[in-house]
Amino acid sequence: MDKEIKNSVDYISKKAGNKTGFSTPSNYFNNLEEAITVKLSEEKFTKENSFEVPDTYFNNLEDRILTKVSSAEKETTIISFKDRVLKMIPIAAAASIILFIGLNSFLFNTTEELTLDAVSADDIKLWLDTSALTTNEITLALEDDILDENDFSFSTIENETIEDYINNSIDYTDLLN
Amino acid sequence: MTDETLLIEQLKNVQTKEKAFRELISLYKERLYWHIRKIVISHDDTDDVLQNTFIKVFRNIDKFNQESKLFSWMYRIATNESITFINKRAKQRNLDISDYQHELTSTLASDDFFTGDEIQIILQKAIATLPQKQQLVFNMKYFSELKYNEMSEILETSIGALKASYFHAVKKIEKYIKLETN
Repeated sequence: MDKEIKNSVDYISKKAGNKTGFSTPSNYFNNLEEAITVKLSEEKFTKENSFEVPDTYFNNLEDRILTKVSSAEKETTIISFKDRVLKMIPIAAAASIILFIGLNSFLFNTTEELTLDAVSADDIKLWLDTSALTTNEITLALEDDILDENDFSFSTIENETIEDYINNSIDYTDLLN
Repeated sequence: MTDETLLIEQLKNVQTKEKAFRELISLYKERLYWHIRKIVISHDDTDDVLQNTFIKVFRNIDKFNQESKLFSWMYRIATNESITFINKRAKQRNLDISDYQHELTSTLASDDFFTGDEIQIILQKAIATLPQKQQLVFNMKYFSELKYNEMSEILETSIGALKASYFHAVKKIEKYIKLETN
């Protein structure tokens, strides 16, 4: 048997050598004493905590939790539809007031913006004919720079020049109308 | 008083226990590491098992009765820790121990801490096919070159039974290698 073992071992050794092929991280063995003594020290630390609970705390914990769970369930069944509706009334009233104010401000209170284009020429004429506009009102309506120009031009134009201009330029038919 | 006897005395004395323990780790760390590594295969798992082995030694040194050598006693603890470890792992993975060991050797090629070549992977796969006891005997005899009487003390098995285990292990491995390489 010994010779047979020797032959087989020689074969294995020749084929695969007698090294396992396993290796370790570098410096693994250098730090091993430290690692083991640290682990040993850790194991010496007490795993018991210093906190305490009342003597019977854990004995009736299930009952107390279950009581809380069942009372919570009860409360949820008590709330009826009527209660919910009653609770909603103040909220609905407040919402209605806000809605009313909102609609009034943004929808019903809209004013049409009047522009000169929207008024027909006949309406303007009618208004000018029937309304007695004073000179002051007209000057107030005119912008300052226009008034300044007019001041300047009126002061320098001779009466004759004005007469000539009226005679030559103005269509009397317009004035007559 | 031999060095070993002195060390044991120091380990049993509260005053000198920690210093002696560091010395004990330094003396046996590499031998125990490689013994465990051949059983659990992965480096990280070996590190865990090795540390647990030394911690068990530290805690139980008072129970060490000196009927066997300190070295044999520590080897025995390391062996038991390693086998317990792989059995636990296999159970966690819901695998039969032989399937678990086959899986371990199948991932050797991608293991960062395996520098062997293809034939060494084949050799590890061949060892994984053996019954647990034959694996132990083969590893201890072939790689670690322990004597039968040392092995007998560690494994608490008769020399005759160890020789028979080694014979069967060697024949099976030879056959496996021949099959895989031809």
